[in-house]
Amino acid sequence: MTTTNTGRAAPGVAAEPQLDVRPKQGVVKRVGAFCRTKPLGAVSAAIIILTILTAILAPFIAPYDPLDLNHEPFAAPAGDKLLGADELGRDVFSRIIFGARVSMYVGLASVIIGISLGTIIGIISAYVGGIIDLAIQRIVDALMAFPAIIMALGLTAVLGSSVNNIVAALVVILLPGAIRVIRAQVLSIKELDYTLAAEAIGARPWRIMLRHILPNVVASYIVLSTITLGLAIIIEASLTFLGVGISADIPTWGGMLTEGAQKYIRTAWWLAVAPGLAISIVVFAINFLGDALRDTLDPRLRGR
Amino acid sequence: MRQYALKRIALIIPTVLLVSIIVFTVMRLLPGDPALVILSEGDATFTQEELADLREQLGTNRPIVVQYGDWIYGLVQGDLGTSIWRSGQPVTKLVGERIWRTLELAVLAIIIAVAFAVPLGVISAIKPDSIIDYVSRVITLVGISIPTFFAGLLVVLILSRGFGWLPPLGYADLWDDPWKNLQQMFLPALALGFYDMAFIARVTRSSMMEIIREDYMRTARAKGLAERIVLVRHGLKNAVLPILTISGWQFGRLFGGTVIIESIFKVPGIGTLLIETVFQRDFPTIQAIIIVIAVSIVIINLLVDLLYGLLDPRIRYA
Amino acid sequence: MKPFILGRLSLRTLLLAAGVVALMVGVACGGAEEPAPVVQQQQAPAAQQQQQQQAAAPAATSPPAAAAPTNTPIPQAVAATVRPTNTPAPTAVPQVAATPTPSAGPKYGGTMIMSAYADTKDWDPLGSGSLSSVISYSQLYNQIVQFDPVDTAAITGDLAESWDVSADGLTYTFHLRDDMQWTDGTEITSADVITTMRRYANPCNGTGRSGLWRNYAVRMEVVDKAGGDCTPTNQDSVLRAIDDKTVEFNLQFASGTFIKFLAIDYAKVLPGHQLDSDPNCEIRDAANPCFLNLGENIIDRGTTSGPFILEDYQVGDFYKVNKNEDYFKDGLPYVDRIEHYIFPGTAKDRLIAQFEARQIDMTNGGFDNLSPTQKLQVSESTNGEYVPHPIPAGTNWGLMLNIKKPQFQDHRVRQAINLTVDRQEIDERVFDNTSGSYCPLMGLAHSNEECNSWPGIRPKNTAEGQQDLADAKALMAEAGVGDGFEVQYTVRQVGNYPDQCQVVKQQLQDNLGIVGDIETLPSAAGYAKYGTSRAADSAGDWEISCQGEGMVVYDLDAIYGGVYREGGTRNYTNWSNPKLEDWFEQQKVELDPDARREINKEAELWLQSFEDNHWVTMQLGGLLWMVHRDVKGFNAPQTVQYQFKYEDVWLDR
Repeated sequence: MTTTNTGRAAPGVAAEPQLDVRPKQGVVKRVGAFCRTKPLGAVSAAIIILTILTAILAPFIAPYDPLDLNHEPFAAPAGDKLLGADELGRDVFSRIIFGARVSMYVGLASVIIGISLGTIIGIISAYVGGIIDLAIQRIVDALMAFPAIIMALGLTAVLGSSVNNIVAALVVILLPGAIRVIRAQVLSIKELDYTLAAEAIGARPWRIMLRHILPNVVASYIVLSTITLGLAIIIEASLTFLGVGISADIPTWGGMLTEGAQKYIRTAWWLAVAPGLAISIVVFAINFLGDALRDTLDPRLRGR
Repeated sequence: MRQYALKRIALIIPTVLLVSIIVFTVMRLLPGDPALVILSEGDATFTQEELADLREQLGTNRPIVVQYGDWIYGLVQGDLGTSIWRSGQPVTKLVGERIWRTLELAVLAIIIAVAFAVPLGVISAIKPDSIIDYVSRVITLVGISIPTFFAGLLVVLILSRGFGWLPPLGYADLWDDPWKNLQQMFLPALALGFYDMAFIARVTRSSMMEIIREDYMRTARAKGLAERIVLVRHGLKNAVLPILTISGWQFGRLFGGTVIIESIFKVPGIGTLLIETVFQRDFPTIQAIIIVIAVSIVIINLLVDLLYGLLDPRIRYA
Repeated sequence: MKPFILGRLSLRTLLLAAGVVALMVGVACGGAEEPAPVVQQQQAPAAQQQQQQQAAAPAATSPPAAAAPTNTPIPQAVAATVRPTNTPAPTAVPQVAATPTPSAGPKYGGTMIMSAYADTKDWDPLGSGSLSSVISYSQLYNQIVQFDPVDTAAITGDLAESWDVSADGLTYTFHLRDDMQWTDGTEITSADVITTMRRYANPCNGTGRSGLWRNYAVRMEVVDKAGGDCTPTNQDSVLRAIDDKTVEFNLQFASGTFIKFLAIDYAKVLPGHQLDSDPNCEIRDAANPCFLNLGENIIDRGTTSGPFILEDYQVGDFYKVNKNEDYFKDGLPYVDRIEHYIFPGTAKDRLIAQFEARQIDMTNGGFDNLSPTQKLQVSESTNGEYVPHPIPAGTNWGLMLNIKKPQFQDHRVRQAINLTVDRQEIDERVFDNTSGSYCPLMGLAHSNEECNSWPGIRPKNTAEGQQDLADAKALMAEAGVGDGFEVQYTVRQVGNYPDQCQVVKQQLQDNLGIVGDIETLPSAAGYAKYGTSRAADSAGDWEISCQGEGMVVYDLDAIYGGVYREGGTRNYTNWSNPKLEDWFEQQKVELDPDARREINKEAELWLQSFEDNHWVTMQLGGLLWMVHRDVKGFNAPQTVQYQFKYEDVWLDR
């Protein structure tokens, strides 16, 4: 079997390894270069960093407690309530600020855990090969047979819909794709001269994996993470629509968007527009950044 | 090639078996059993004795292995059991009727997506960093940044508020009443295909950009062929492969998307059925739907892989 | 740091939109203040008056009017005579009474489009407990008696033209009409009634809602239930046919509630000869149900009696019925055809869009996945074309306390919670002031006016209300938890349960320092969790919850049975108290309505004192039944569980 048919990795992904041949540059210089060549990517990065800061500093930014019934129900946006009030009279602006916490936490946690785990399993699967590889690939096949949203629906229904359970469900969803991509890449790195050379001089497998293979999948790792981050946020938002979302007293963008869009978009549009914009802008920025990073770090991943 | 194909087909069996075990186990782990859900619908009154009786009747109190064995035995014979919630309704009929509607929606969505995405991607690739390129990239990025359900709700809102029009109620079969059917299916397919359109456009753009730089393109131009012919005959022809592949893979996501879009547009496909039955804990029906979806995806992926190998001369299977 | 979401651009857009918003809000606020939805004009004056009373906010009293009919069929004084009050003229009475319009009179013809909230679960009423099912099969069959289409709390004949009650109240004799036949031409006789009712009474079959009457009738015994021989041994002492047109039921104890359970739409009479033709019909088996349980079978070979005939059914999408031209009630029904389209919970938005496009004539029941707020908004945005008719007795909404958990074992804590819960705020924020009563017994014992002055119920913005809050704090201190404590709220992600808990949580937090998170669960998972506290030796996995008990009939037995008795649906901790049991037994057999009310008043005072109680009554939740103003002849029922034959409604177009 060649590497190209290993599944969903887009064509060309694993055809050639990404050699770490870039000259060692200072981080500052590289960031500066990124900003010059990809200005929109830089803006996107700024948006994401701002969102993360907002999430962290939510209690200091939000004018009200997101759970307090401060306003009249359905109060329209006005001076002291920038984005109006929801059906119970809670401040929408404050809820958006606090909602950033859940969206960013769920997105980042699931992506970091999911893609890291996927990378490790992918490397092991490809490097060790044999029966282990075969077994892992069958499991990956089976998991990939479930559409993400259906998988998420099933897992949260079983686990319950606390924030961490949703992260767990997303990890299971992101895993198989990451394993696929990384495995395919490792398979070709494995055949390269320097890996073979290291093997010839008797380097231990874990050392080869750590020293020679891991550094070469870092670029894919970063790009994969960015690309799936947007997906994770959108799936989290969709779960509330399907009725298995995060608990009602935790403000989430997905929850707010579902409530607002499904029930009140015709009478109190701000209840849908505010969280809708929040989700779309952040996911948009993430995708834009993902594009820019992909072009910069790993042109071979284009098309993913 | 033939050997490879046979091997791939053989590997479907363990995959499907694993899928069936996952589906079955997940179902049994769900908190809340069907008997409880049936009795408490509408917040009604019932006694503990009635609950025990119903569990007995439904067979949900038997050992899990026995239940799994029963299910697989039926499955092999094409019998998916009877619905628990809709007492007496055979699941095979329930799902069989609806799978075609969902499939129609998915195919329509893919057609719409490809029809918009390919031109967008090609133009964008020919003139990189032009205004057109930026516009199309923004459109495609918006496409993958909006949750499907929000897009769907917006479409309904714009239709009903802006145009005072809503798709006619009561699903009409494509063969019985194609016009009504298309009225009902086009918009959900559009909302559903938006994401895929964005995705495919991105793939088209990047494949085209790579191909444009290839030697054979330069050769073709050097021969003095018109740019249009070069692009279509040499460029797009080679880009078709990845586009096809990605479109095939998108089917999996589309099945997921139908769960949401069908609810919003009231299309009685397996997506709506899945959500209803998950809340009703109608195990036989949920299991049937998911297994049908999973097997379809496995088969479509296999076909795409095989097709890919068949079409791309560069790939040789060991 | 200015939040990025509100960057300059979007802020400008916001300002631009402000004008539009102001306009919308102007409209919104103007309408929302209206105390009650408009009541249709064509109703009989008496019915109209009654409805307005029920519609009015909780302050207005209605119990005497609303509750009186509950106790109507008092068999005591009247000895074995035909009861004229309950038996209007033997001919087609309902339509005469139903249409006293000032204008020309009912119009015939037309197709009505209705929305359904869920698909039909069962087309066979046996063991059926599902509202979505009864709505679909009710048009096809008749009951022995029914709730009156105009005076919706009273009972009138359906298949029966009259009935007698024996002097001791233990025997009901029903006299069937003469001129009735099934759609296959067969005469409807007492044999059909016996064959059908025998199934509902058989202990091998679940009670469901079609069998609720059997809790009052003589118990049917079978040869060997455990062994699977379900042949009745005492059928004749439960019910028997005296002749072709006369049927007799025997009760365990005299009760005015029995006949109500016979009158709900669940207690349908099916074609006996068809039931006999299928051996699966007699005893319900989920795997091999009676052939009448599938809509397709009813279309193919079912015979029915009702005003409409099932023509088409697409699972999960729609069912359509046509007028029964040979219906035994002369001149009924009015409309030619009804098409019911199913809008599940995830299609809420589509349903609203459908209303706004005026493409629906009415919802086919009072329950429809939309919240009161949304319905009032629909009514408003359609300039009142859609009238939300109030159904007074929908649900007994309560705050459930798990008395097995350490936090709630001290009754003073529960008392404090009962004093703190601000009913008016919940009503306003979550139910749009649609409450029918805050009394624990839902207005059937004390009147709303009386309850509204009680501690805990009286408004918190009065001096007395403030006193309640202070008393509550004192009680907490007495119980040793003056600083509050932590609890876990568990709530099903259904309807507005999460919203209710949200508001209650805030109230308890502010006044008593009781803090906690709300865990929301899908419906089934929620029930499973509540169920964990049923076992005697288990405290269960939940602590406090918002939950409702749907009322089948507006009657005290139903309230006790659902919430306050051991094994009750919403009594997940199996709480019980001998005092309350005494009162329950006394009132159950008390046939004099005034005496019964007195007993219940005593019980209600005791419940509200929270000397020992587990259910903090939030309110009697009303439902709104959305009907287009062109639909005439419609009168909202008392509860959401009946009046689905649609034989009296007509289209004024």
